[in-house]
Amino acid sequence: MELENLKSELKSQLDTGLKFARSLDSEAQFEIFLYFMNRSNLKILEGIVEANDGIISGNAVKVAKKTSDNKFRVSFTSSSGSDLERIKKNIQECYSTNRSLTVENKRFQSFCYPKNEGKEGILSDELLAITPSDLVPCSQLIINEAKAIDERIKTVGTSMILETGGFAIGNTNGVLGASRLTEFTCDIKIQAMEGNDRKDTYKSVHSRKKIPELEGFGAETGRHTIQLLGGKRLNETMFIPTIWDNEAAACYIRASLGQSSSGLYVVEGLSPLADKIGDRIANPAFTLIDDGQLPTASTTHSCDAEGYPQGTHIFVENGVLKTFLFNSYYSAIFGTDPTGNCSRRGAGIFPSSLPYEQVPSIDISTLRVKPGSKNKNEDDLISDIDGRALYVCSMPMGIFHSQVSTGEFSAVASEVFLVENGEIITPLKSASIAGNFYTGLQKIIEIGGNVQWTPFGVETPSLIIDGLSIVV
Amino acid sequence: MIDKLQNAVSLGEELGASFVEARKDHLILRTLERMNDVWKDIVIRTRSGVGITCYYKGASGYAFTASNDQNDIQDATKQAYKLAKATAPAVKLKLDFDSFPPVKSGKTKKADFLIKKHPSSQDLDSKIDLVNRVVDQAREYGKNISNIKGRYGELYGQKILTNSDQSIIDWEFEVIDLTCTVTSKTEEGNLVYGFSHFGGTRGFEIFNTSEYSPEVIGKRAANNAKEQLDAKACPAGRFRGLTENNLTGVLAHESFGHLSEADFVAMGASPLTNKIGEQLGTECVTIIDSGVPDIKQYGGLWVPYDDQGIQGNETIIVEKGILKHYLHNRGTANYLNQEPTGNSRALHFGFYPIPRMTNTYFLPGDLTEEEALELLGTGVYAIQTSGGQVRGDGNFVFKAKRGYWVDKGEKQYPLREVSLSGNILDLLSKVEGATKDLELVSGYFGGCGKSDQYPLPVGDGGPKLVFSEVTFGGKA
Repeated sequence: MELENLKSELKSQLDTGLKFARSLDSEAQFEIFLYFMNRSNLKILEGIVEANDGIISGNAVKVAKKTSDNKFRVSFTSSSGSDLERIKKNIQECYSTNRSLTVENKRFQSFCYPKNEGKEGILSDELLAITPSDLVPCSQLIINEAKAIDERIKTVGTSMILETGGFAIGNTNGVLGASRLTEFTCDIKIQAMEGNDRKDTYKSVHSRKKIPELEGFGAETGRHTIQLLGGKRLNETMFIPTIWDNEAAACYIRASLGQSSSGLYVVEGLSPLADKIGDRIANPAFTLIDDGQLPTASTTHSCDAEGYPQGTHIFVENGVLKTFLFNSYYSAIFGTDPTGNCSRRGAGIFPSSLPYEQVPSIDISTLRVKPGSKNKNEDDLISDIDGRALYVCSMPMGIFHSQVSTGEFSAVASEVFLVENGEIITPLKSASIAGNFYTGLQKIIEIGGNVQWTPFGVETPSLIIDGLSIVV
Repeated sequence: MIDKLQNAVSLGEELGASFVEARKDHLILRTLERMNDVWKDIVIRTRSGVGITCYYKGASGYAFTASNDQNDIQDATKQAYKLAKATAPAVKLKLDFDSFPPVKSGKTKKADFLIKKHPSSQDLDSKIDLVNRVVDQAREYGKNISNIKGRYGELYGQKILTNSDQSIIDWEFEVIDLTCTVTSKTEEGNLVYGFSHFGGTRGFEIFNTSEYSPEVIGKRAANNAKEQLDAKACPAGRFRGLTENNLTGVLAHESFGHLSEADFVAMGASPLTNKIGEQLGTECVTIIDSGVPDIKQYGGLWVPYDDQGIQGNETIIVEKGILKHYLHNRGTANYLNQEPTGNSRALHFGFYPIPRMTNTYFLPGDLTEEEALELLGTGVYAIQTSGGQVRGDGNFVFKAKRGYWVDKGEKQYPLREVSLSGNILDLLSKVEGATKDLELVSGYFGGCGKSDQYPLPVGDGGPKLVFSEVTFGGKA
């Protein structure tokens, strides 16, 4: 299937599928989701080469059938492949499963209703023309650059992924939407050694448009890795300010507000923010937007995974909680409109490799933290520190293993430095950082101006947070 | 289907591949979820597809298709060969391997010795009944309940493989799981939670036993949440520690198992590289990975073959503190002069197999729980887990869902969620003792993540372990 024709071809199959569904039962509600994605991956890890290529395709069907007491029985089935034969077989299976159900979803009211579509993100012809073997020189450039930085860099690995494809969604309420994606992602993983001391780092870049400029990427990551060698253990327990670089800050936001903003957790009584609309939940300088129409983001589509247009929503404004994120199911229960945040990416932080198998739920599009008014970069934030602080780089381990409901977290940063009176004094072996996410949001004491893309679905500047408990 | 896979192997060889593997998965996944009084979607997934690996001059190319059509499988074979050939000039570390005598499983091999009532033979209502009983029981025993979630999940189906060894392997993967999560609200308005589950390769009859009935699972989750209402934050710092069996399993898996996966070792990225024969832990530390443990007695997941056609067996990774073996695919085993271990696993047909764990666990010792508490003296007794993570430098973290502060061998008060962290090479030298009770845990929900292959069902476990010092993240 060519990308140019993908939308019309998937929509045509959807249309046929929905007609078939109506022929089975004109009163039941049907929803059909089709997914078709070319995925190529090249990994070069210390000279081990693995290449992978194929089409991830599948279909999902949802049936809601009203019972005599006006409640709905709801079933969901998915199957690999998106050809018409499999779609029809799956529709039949979902309908047959629904007929055998003896339990109702008391809250279900209806699938989504049609609205004008939003915009797709950037689509690239350049990425369409690339094959996995074309990526070999790019990988070798990064690897050679990193290795040349310092002989203590012992292992370097790259993983490049190309994805081109899209999805279509339709239902018996008249929704018929489709959206496409072209994306290139490159990860680098470096390990440096000195004696028995090892440090490893991981960085990522992406683009929907082209293979980005990769010169300097390996060298910069290599230099950062070398800086972490010789980390000290201080044997101290303390409360000091923590400077979270872009990636670490993105993890903090994703693990906390990225989940508790979901209408699912709000409605089910699992979000600590459930009754806090209108309350100040963060420093007044903190504003957070969920942007489903950012052209460069991989999550940007003309419609969400149930066919509702993706949009832009102010979630926290000047520290005050403004709204939650919804799909049609939970918005109806909550008594509001959907926000275009229906997702089939699965329950984890990183998307499922088989999105068509995932039951429609709620997820962020791209969370964007508004930069601080003083437009400080990371060096400024560090040099402003009076006394001691901890400078946390990249994803702290365990931060995504926290419970949404409690807000309590306890994570371990491996890429971490001690800062004293405005200067980085020494790398540390590791730092255990614990606290409550929501208390921490109140104690943001500085927001940088250095907004950056991160692989965690959050664009954010660096943040300084006070009051967290540290063991180093 | 096997003839189509055999044709793919022949085609790959004709094209010039030094070795070809062709596999087909046809798996059924079902989940049922009830949250409070609302039944969520009843979910059935059919996951079916073919994957082909071609090896050429040390490179591997992998291509896949969701189609069963002969032509599509042949196209995937050509693409796999093309990828391997095109990327071969970049290979510097060749993971070639020799042929083995063919493995023949016979007609679809099943875990009949573990499963009397197969989940496919049970109607939907009986599974709905399980979840209803879990939720109802949790409601009866819980306090200040904000949310109750009951879930049942099952995954089963056929895995077929053939390769250039002319092996023909056909077996059925199966795992079931019943879980309960109770969220309660403290008087201050904070949310706390309790969890309980049972899962693994077992038949539906397991839920009729007094140990793993829905009533036991629901009540345990409710009681855990209730206890958390009065729990305190764990103090931050370095203390003596005691890990409960489930948490010990995550330690075996996260903090040690991943580093023993031989792809990391082959490229020099694991701190266990070149350490075979070295004393890494105390004499109390013996760590095993086995695809075929005694599941009837201890629990776990049945993995009799890996995705390269190697039979599952027991690998002693560490014996009495000494590093003995890594976990391999065929290429890393050959490169590191060890035997393949049956650990080459793929998440599904869309991925090529890589070294992964099966059931990873510490062997038990000779202490009772009371003796372990006495040996702990003063410190943290950490219980249950919500997972963990390790980095290539050996730094790890794993989460305990709850625990107790222990003073002079006596439990003093319950603790909330806490993280345990450290460096694996330090930690194993701090194990002072192990209890005599071995438990393995597995399940449908959750699983292991490596690279972008998540969540792969695994098992892990062990006894309770006493540590002389662990870093706990908590309240300073």
